[in-house]
Amino acid sequence: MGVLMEVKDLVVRFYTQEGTVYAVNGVSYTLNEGETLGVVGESGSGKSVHALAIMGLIPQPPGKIESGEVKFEGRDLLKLDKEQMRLVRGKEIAMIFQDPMTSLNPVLTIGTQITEALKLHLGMNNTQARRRAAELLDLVGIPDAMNRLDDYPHQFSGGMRQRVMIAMGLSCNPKLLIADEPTTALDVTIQAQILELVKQLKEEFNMAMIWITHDLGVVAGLADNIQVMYAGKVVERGPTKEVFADTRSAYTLGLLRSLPRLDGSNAKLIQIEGSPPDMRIPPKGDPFAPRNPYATDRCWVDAPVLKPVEGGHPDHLVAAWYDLRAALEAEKEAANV
Amino acid sequence: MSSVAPTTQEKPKKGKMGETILSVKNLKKHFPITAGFILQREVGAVKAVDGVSFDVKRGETLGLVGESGCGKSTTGRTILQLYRPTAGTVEFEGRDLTTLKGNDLRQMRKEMQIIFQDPFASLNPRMTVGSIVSEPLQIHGLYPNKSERQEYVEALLERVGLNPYFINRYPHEFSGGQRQRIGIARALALRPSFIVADEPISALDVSIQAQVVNLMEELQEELGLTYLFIAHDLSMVRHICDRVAVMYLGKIVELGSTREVYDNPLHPYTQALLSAVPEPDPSKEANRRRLIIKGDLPSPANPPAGCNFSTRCPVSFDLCYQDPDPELIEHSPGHWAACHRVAY
Ligand SMILES: Nc1ncnc2c1ncn2[C@@H]1O[C@H](COP(=O)(O)OP(=O)(O)OP(=O)(O)O)[C@@H](O)[C@H]1O
Ligand code: SF4
Ligand SMILES: [Mg+2]
Repeated sequence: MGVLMEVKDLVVRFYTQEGTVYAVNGVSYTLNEGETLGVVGESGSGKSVHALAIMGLIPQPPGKIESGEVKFEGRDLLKLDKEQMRLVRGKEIAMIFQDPMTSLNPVLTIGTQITEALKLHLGMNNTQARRRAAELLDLVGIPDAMNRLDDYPHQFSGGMRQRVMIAMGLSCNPKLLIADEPTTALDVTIQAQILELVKQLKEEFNMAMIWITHDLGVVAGLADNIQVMYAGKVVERGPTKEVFADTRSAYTLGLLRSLPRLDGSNAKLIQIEGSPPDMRIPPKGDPFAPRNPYATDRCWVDAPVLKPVEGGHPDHLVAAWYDLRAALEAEKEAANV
Repeated sequence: MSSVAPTTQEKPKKGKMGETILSVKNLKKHFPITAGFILQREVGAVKAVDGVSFDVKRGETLGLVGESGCGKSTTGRTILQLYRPTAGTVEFEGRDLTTLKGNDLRQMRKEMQIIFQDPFASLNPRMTVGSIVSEPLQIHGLYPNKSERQEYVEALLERVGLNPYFINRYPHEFSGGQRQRIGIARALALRPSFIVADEPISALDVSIQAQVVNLMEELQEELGLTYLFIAHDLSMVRHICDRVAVMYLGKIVELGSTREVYDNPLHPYTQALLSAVPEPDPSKEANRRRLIIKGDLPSPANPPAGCNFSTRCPVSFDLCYQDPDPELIEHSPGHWAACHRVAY
């Protein structure tokens, strides 16, 4: 598989009345063709902002991309002008959001909104575009698709609207689909429907996907690789199985230990102490240090960089000065004494 | 744990653990749908809660789960008489709340409090933390002495893990998790015995949820609290609840001990719900066979004839489409389900 996109040292800030928000603080990664990357983080961790930066959708001002590169098939997207970027969006890269109503126009029919992209990017005429739009709606499981083209967004339920968004996202056969918490607002049975649909379509369309979520469960069954973000930085990245089974970041471990399990197997929830970071304070050292029971002196002053983990999978990276594996071993030994 | 905890001043709790503290019978709450501009007339009703019955035992946590709009919150609020029920009774410590008014109801309310989902919306932004937490005390004329009141509020804040030093700050100066702690302190101020927690953690960051749940569990142990825990996160419900009631479209479809319901779900909806929960475990997810149910929730203004789940049920048969709908039947001790398939 070839490289599809390379993000290099992306830094995004917002200059607001309450001060500078350090939203994304040096994010770098490579996404391969056909890869599904799960980006996990809490609200404010910079996961959405990083995606908006890729899409050229950061409102400037107050936002500013301070530095970085987003090489997509060799071209730096951050250097494109508005018109060039408009052609990339929808055609090469599509994005779906948590609340479909924010990206659907309430006064236009679903049909008009899907056919617009087909005409703009693929040069279809009206009849062709309508036929293709109906096919797409059918594909995402909307019954009676041809007739529903003339309905307005409010005439669809939340789950159906998300299907419409997915249909729109797929309409021009993008190479990359970025999904920002698209199932968070949905009920679990509807979420299960959408996840199943996406898995199927991904195969069919052979595209890469970035799935942004705060729910480690959602990406566990979906993603090839996982990237955990905290305070605008990537703290851990690797093949999904490795990140769950051979966790190396204290933050990832904290999240996993604090989650209850459906089978009732973790009787005590081990909480992460403290609060999420204030993103208005310029990052210094390891941002998780104040909440990290394994932090070393160095964590407070020096920012760790992503490096391959010791004695693990070669694609498994962690940004940490502490050695989580050794610390856990020591804990175990102490407990046995 | 704080040494000045309000527990030191705690009155001895009346009643024994395990006895029935709350008994809800055939509770209904229908919201009228009106039409017409000047002359509003009723053209129908949203059957948000449509005949719900259950008991809650002192000291236990009963979970109320189901998907959005199924009537969980309305059930909680109708129990507390924040909404007056359309029909049914709510017996709390032996008294039917639905018949109480005025001062009688106010007195009973001291025993019952609610914690809301959204700690951002549920706290008055113009009030200090101190006045938010002490407001219920003033309403009920408790702690009339100002310095004693302040001392008590500080002890409460400390007990829920907030620095009492922040007593004069405003809600916006706190994070989501801290605001939820303020909500909990306020709910505890009157030393209630029963708390409805309506999605108390769903608006919180993942890394904060366990903090709040652990706090709620500690407080329950310490103060002998009884919880009605409303949630859609099924893993969390399994963790915190002793028993669970599954709601669908205004009705309870299954009720039992958490272990029974999760390990041996009887109702097809419960089965689908449990199988839909994504688990943070790639090897489990890889081997999982999901039971995907089709379609959306019908509108509670227009529920289907017969079983409410019949429009989506993978195992429905002719009887399911006819009235009356299946009754909630006890299939093994304490394990109830409302489904024709299970009954036969
Ligand atoms: N004040 C009201 N007037 C009219 N309809 C209402 C009112 N409050 C709730 N409803 C309706 O009653 C039904 C049940 O709502 P309720 O809020 O109890 O559901 P819920 O299970 O708590 O959902 P969620 O998970 O979204 O919080 C819904 O259809 C809702 O729209
Ligand atoms: S009664 Fe019929 S439709 Fe309802 S849950 Fe049981 S089998 Fe399904
Ligand atoms: Mg609710």
